[in-house]
Amino acid sequence: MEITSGWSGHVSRETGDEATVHFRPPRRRYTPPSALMTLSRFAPMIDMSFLLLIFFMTTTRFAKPEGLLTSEMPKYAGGSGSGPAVPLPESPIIIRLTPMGPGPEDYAIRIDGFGQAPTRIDGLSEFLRGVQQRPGFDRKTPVIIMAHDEIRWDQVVKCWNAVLVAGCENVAFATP
Amino acid sequence: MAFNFTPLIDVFMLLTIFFMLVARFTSAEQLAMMLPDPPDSLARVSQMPERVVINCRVNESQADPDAVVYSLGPNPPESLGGISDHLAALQQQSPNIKVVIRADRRLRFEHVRAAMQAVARNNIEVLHVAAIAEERG
Repeated sequence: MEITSGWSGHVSRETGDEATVHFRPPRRRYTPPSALMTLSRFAPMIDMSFLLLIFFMTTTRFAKPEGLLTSEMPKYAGGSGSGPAVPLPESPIIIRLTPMGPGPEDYAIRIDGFGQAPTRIDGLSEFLRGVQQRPGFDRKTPVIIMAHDEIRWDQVVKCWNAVLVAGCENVAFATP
Repeated sequence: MAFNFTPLIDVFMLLTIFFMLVARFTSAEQLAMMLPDPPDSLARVSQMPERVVINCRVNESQADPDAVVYSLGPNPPESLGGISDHLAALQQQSPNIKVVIRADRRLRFEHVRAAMQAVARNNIEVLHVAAIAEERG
């Protein structure tokens, strides 16, 4: 027996002891989703892709970071001269940076009292480590950098950094 | 009904990006220049509160390559005397002020030494100098 109901489908009922109701939905013709519908399903993925893109663009740094080297300044004694404002310690290691030509790399270093000292900054750290092993010298021995006015700031900072790499803890600047 | 976390995550990500960008903008006082780049640099990356930055730059607009321009943070260029006066006023407001000298590596030492003297004239005892830091993994 077949009953036609108000539904758009059909309900079939078998007569007898076991009655089973079957619902058969109407067959719809398959229509492929439109391009807009397909695109909208990808919207969360596009959102996340853009967020991740912006996140990594913000956090990625290709340039080297900027840091600080710290030094203690002598108290200013007044006057207009450019000489040191405080008396120098008795037995410091004095490193002199002098220009040897017009170029930024034309320089030489000299350490007072150490004739065999390196003349370039490259071997300075190793030499100062050796000096610290000698009697009367240690990491706390004052190191004074005396740079000529014509020396480039880059060389002064490289010399300062080399002194710090050697482990010297007491570094100061003075004018020749 | 399950809670939908998607908008929460979206807003969280947007806020994170926003604050990261704002934090980047606060470094506007660090004018672009060629900082010293020593090998095996021991320069430490640090965020110091109450710091004043003295920028010493090469004056690119002039024919003289050794011409120097001083400025206090992002402010327009001024003389070292003016900077020294500003430092004195700032130190009266907060005695624990810290001074950072950012100098172009092409400058001659005499130009940077002049800035150091301006700092020392105000009895500021600790000086910080900017240099390229070694990247640490």
